[in-house]
Amino acid sequence: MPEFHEKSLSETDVSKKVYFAILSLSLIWLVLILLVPVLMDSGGVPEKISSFLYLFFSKVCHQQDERSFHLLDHKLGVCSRCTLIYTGFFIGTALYPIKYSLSNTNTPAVWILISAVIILFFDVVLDSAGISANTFYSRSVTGFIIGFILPLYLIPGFVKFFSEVHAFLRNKVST
Amino acid sequence: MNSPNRITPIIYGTAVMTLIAVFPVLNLINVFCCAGIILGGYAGVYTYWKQLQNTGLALTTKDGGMIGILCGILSAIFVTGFGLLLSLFSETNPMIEIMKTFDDIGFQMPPEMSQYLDKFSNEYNEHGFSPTITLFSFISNIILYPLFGSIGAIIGVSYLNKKNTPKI
Repeated sequence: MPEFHEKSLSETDVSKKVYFAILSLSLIWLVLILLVPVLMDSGGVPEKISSFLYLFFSKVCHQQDERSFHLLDHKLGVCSRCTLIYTGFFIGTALYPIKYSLSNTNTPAVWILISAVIILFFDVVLDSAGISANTFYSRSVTGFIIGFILPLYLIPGFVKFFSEVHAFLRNKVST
Repeated sequence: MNSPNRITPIIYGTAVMTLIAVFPVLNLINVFCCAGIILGGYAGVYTYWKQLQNTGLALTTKDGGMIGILCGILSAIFVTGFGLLLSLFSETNPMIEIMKTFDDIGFQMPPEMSQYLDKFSNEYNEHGFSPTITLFSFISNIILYPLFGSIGAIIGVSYLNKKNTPKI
């Protein structure tokens, strides 16, 4: 019994660490996106940092000016869709403990994620094919939906991943 | 029973990530939140899951996540290396092309940006590549590829394990 208690305590500890790491990282990521135009507006060294942040985020987003939110006359680090994906992800992560236990490793049905991907896919494809132009609103909403849903899959997945790695390393050390 | 080797899934995943990143037009997939890297992580896990089908062993999140991370690390190295080789063997200076494009579209560059482009352009002229851009590219790749690779792998494990669960 004490052994079981010790094990479950350790697993709870891992899941808490994983959850707070994901929450902190998503907050830092979002703050950096919002900080880019502010730094650009400040001039001097912050402007140089901002240039590098634009370069960094260019790896994950097209950063088209007409498809981006602007702050202080400068576009954010990523486009409107990506900004809302990351905002949705942060809000979804922050609200996650309301519905699920942090040590939960069960993910919701996959069709929920697939539906969100299909909605986003159609928003992109219909626009690219010239059938129906998407708007700031449609890009933001479809982005937010997928961002909000993703933590429901990623938090249990990463909790399970780190718990298994933790258990594996503990077994290695004890043998 | 021994578990199947993880080298093949890592090679597949790395190949998918790298090919998507280096092929023109195809690499546009990555501007959608690194979808190509996520796909590579998934491809690695899918290959591993296929191998496990005949062994009766279960796909664990630990193995899946590790495959995604390793594919990401290897792909980050290959993509940066490919970019470096391309600039070393190409005669053109991409910075001059960028400046020309900005001129053509009438984009007024801030003086800071113009200063940077000049600096990088000089590096290209001097060494045949830009050490600053290569280093920066490697640092961002080594962060982004394993991160998004593991996301693809973990989603993959969750999906494939659900697919395998018998319905009652």
